[in-house]
Amino acid sequence: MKKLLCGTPFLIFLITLNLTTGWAQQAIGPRMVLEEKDFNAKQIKEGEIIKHTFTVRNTGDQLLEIKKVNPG
Amino acid sequence: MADFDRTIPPGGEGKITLRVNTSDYQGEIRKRARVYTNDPRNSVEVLSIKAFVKVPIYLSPKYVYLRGLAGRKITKTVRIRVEGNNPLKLEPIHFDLSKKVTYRIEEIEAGRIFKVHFTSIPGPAGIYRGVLKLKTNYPEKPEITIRIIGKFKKGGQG
Repeated sequence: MKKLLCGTPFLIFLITLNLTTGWAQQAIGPRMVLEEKDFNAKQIKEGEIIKHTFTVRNTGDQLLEIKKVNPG
Repeated sequence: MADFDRTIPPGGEGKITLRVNTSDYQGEIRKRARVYTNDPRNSVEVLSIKAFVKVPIYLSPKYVYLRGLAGRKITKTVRIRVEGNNPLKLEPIHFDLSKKVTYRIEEIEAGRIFKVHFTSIPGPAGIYRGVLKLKTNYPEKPEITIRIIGKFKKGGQG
């Protein structure tokens, strides 16, 4: 009982902190995650076209927009 | 070239497809693409594709730059090498800088290694560009083109 009473102010403090800072509700925004950034096509003949598709995951909580991809 | 999904919902997946045309490349290549997004922590990412482009005939370097002062002679050399067993034969078929540059083909190793020496003819300041085309006996590469650029500044003799 004594332990419970001592813990109560700390619990109230944590709840207040959570409400004031909004930790639980804070949006993290869009998050781009690329599992692979470099692709090695190894040995190919001149004139061949190398085509490779990279997968992008959005682990955030808002829409991820790819604005542009600039080769070169 | 690149194709990509413009938007990806939370928890979703999208694709970015890159294409690299290897025409006119030889040896090791690496091509990069920058990806710009609205991710506040990571707004730019770099993707890369690397490869080793195999060619029947290697040129090193692929271009000739003759740079210097006007009136001076500058010489540069291009090395031509084949890896296969088929002996290479070269025959000049086109050269459009005969008034500005001379060239000489030297066979270093019979049918395998050649050197082409380019020498500028002393002249006035200016810039010129041209090509030397060589016919080969390789059906997969019937013609080699060596590009030549000359850049000569004022300050030399003549």
